[in-house]
Amino acid sequence: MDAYLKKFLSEEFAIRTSFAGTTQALRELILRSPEFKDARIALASGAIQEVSISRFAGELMKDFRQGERFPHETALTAIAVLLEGYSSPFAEEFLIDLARVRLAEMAGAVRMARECLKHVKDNAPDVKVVRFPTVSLQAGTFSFKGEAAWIVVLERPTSTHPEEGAIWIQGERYATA
Amino acid sequence: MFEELHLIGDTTQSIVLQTRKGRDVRNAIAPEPGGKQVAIYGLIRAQFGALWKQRKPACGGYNCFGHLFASRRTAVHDDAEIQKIFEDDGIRKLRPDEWPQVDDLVLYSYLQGRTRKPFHVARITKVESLVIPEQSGGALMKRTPILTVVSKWNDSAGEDEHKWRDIGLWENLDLDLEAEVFTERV
Repeated sequence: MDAYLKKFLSEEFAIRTSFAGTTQALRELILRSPEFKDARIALASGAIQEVSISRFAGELMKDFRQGERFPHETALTAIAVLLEGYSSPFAEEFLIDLARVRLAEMAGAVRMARECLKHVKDNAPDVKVVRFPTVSLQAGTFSFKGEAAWIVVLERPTSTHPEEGAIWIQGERYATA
Repeated sequence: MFEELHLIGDTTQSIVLQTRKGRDVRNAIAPEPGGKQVAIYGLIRAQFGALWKQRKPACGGYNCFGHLFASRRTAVHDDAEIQKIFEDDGIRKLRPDEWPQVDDLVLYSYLQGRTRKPFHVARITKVESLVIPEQSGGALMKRTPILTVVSKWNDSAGEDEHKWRDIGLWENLDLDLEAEVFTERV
């Protein structure tokens, strides 16, 4: 189990984030917790991989019992907040999938996924990435991992961006369109 | 990831809850806490609640906002719904010349950007006063309220009676937490 994510299961984290009256207040508590700050840095730097998150969430879900309050709701809630700030198809799919669940047993985590999706939408890029080969060049700014970034998607290679269809963020190759 | 859970269907429960002006308030009845939630509540009481007096052990159903605004029947978790209740029910901040009364409420709020957002709410059960001489000789006196409140900490914790400033749990969180008295009294 990933060491950073495992901290979301600790008593210290649960104590720090337990008493909040609203979903929005809980999100603030999570964002301010040292466990979350460490995990966010680890995710941004690649120390936490998507596969680790998927595996961790899968382990948590093994303890789900219908009719009983989910024991790892705090940890699952924290993962939702962690993925809110991580722009990837996996993160989006995870949040959308969790937000669609309609179970009282883990309603807090579901509410948080919905809240996180609102924030994702609010911070959505103001340019749409039109994929190769529809356009020759689309450029603009958007939010990447919580920070403003610029993006370029190429149809034809150039001397500075030689790979067709690549997406470049802040001058670094991020993915292929 | 959660495909199997979709197959279970919908186990959520809510009630019809409206503001005084008839606007619907989204709510969710929380299931009873499991062993883990009860244990965490116990740890928090042991760590921060030396002076708290328990009114009710850990239970589900409602949270602090459901305690105050839905008579303990359900939980209200969303900022927008709480704002709706304050607006429609005429709940206002106490004026500086007003004295708190039993059954007024203490709203704890945190700062997000430039806006204060609701964090927790508690019901006042006792009002005492502390008199402080403002001038040497005691000619002028300043009266400061000392409030006792009941808190339902979240939708799985219990209810505790405590002094309104006895919230050590939230210290050092960098939330800029503020406690203010509100009332529905005209």
